[in-house]
Amino acid sequence: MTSPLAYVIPILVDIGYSWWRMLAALLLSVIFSWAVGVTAATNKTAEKIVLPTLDVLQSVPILGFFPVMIFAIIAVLPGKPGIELAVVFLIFTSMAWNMAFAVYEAVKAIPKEFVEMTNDIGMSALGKLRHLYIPASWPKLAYNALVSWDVGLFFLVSSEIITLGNSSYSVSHGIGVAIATYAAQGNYVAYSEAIALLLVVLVITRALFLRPWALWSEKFKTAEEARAERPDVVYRSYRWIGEKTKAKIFYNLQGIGLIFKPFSRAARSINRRLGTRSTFVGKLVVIVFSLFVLALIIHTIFLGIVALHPIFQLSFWLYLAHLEREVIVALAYSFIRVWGVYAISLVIGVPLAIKAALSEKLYEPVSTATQIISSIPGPVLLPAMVVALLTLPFRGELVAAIVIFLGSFWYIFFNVLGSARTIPKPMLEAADLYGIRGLRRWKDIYIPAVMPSLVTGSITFIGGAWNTLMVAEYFAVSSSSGSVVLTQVGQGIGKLLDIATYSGNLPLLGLSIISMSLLIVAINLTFWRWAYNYTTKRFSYNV
Amino acid sequence: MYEEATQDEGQPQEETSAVLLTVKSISYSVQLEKRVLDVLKDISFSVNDGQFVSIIGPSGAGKSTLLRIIAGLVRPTSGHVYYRDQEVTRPIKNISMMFQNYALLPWKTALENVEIALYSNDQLPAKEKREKALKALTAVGLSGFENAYPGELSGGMKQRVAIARALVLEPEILLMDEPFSALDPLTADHLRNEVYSYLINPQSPIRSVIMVSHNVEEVIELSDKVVVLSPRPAHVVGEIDILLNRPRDKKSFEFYTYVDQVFALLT
Repeated sequence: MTSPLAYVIPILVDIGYSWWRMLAALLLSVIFSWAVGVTAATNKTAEKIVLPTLDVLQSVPILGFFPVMIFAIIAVLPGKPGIELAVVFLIFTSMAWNMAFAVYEAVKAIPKEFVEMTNDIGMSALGKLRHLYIPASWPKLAYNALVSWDVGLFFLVSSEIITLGNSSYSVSHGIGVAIATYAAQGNYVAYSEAIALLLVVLVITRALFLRPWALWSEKFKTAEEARAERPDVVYRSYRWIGEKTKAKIFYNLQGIGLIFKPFSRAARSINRRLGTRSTFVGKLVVIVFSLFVLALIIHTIFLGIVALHPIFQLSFWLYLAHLEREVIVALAYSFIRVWGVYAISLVIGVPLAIKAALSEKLYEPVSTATQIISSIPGPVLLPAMVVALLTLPFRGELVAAIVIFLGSFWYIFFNVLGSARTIPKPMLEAADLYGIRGLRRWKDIYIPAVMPSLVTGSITFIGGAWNTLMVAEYFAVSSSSGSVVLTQVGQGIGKLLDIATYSGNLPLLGLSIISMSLLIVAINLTFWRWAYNYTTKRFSYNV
Repeated sequence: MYEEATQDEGQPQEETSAVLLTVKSISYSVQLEKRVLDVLKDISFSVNDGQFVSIIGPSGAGKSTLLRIIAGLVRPTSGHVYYRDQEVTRPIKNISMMFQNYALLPWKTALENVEIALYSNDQLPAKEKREKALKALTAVGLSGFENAYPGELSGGMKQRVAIARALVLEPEILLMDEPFSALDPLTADHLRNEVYSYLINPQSPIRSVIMVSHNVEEVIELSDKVVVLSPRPAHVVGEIDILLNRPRDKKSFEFYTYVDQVFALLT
């Protein structure tokens, strides 16, 4: 038997692979957010296009699109680099939208006089970006990057696991790969080590990178903002962890400054070059780049037409109709699964969060502990659950429910925790004064007070839950000896997506994604929009 | 990039009656959902070389909009603004503006806040930009505070950083939008003459100042000419030349005669 320590290095290598994907996606997201957020905030036409687009992108189950992404990207860039790019792109799609919104909001909030001032002194567009828009967006961007990191981690592990079902798409290294492979081999020593190491690296990443970033960005807050803004739950927890781990030392190293200095220097030199010399070179770069993008688009459309030739035959449509029936049944099963787990999460999450928020003793430890637990991407625990629940009936259902729960529960918990914290003191004092206690207190004070954020949390919960289905409903690992299905449910849209992916059934894949997206967007536009408007109007303090 | 207005170097200094800026039949209206709202209506006046001109009017009359039109930040619905013989259609180097809340970037130091005005000047080496900014800060009495952030400065000091930023571009005309309204009344009272001396002195590049204000005493204390605007849509109801020696005695009879005169036009 090999020594348990023998796995440490390979696991760290795997984490290294995963982290490069995460950081690449984060960097892409930051650049995307600046480009799109600033454009939308400063240009009315762009604003009208960008906001609804981001809204839809935020609400469709991105993970479902992952297989299509792999097919598309591999068509252009075959082999491992293509898969690698697909994974990075998937993580990017889970990180970027909320960050772009953050930049948009921050730039929108810049007082008009600042923009006028830059016009008055004749600042160039690039100068405004560098001296006004980017600095002003740092605080919101950094905070949203913290949130995006957790979401991205979930997508990272999920995408790595999804690729494993089919050996021709699989990434060779990554923490998700390591965990799934060790689990399939029954090597539980290595498996537990991998999870433990992941947790350690996660905490270090926070202390060394994410937290200093958030702290550093504080200096870009205007004086009024700094005074008005209460540090929120998530941030407070980070601060608490930081103080406990004495991360101050790392902050003083200003590692983050070392990372960003070269960028700002490069930007300055580009700025100077574009400004002093004739803009011919700049134009040339833009032209060549646009031509390249145009060629890429034409190439893709051409490939699409070639791939789509069967749509002109009736038999193809009959086949589609047959598939769609299957898809609708699967959707119904998944719908019940998602909303069932949602109901359970409400029953557990709401009382727990309110209790924790209102107790001075419980608040700090609970919010910190839940922060750490919530950052463990649920899918890494999947193999352990499969084994632990081996003898139980409905094992597949149970595993699916737990994975959905782990992936989405936190949205409800943290939203309610945050808003219960901000229930005005006089309201609680009045409740004390009039002896409103027990169930009445919950019904008349607590629940209405947290209602608007409960709806916000619920919308994200449902959105997140649909996303988890692809890993929750079906989990397969392929190895040299053939693929092993570790867990699966009877029927479900996530399972259908997996099977369509592994068997390369593009029509089924397309139908599943489109049907699922339509269902989700429809519920968002009707039920959730109503719920959101109703609760924010009915349960807001400032009436 | 700026359009450099050609400056006649040989022009003698005594010729102070030359017109530096002309505002000609400026009208400005905004399209609301159902109707058109007239903000400014046929406003004309001129600013002579060496003059400190104030625009006064009730709040909401569109004084700030007028100032932004003069700065070239906002385009009027009709009418023209001329700096010497050149029409102003966008910000030019010879006209600089000081904003009501100073618009100092909170993430830049006092020195950097002055320096950003020079960023777009490619001919100037970085070292000279820094030196110029330092000189401007020294001119407003802020040497030693180069590395302070706006959040660490008092209201009066922030105002002086904003003045330095306006001065560093060496404009001939400075536009000031309610420069003292962000300060508490006591500080503002104290600083008025000081600010005047920073702007109008032999070393200063500034030849004329246009200030927007709603404080009658402040306007009489500082101006050579007062342009009084009516409520919306604003038009010029009177121009008064203030012929008092500086520094002005706010308790004098002549001072109050002017105050009454302005009040009479305002009401």
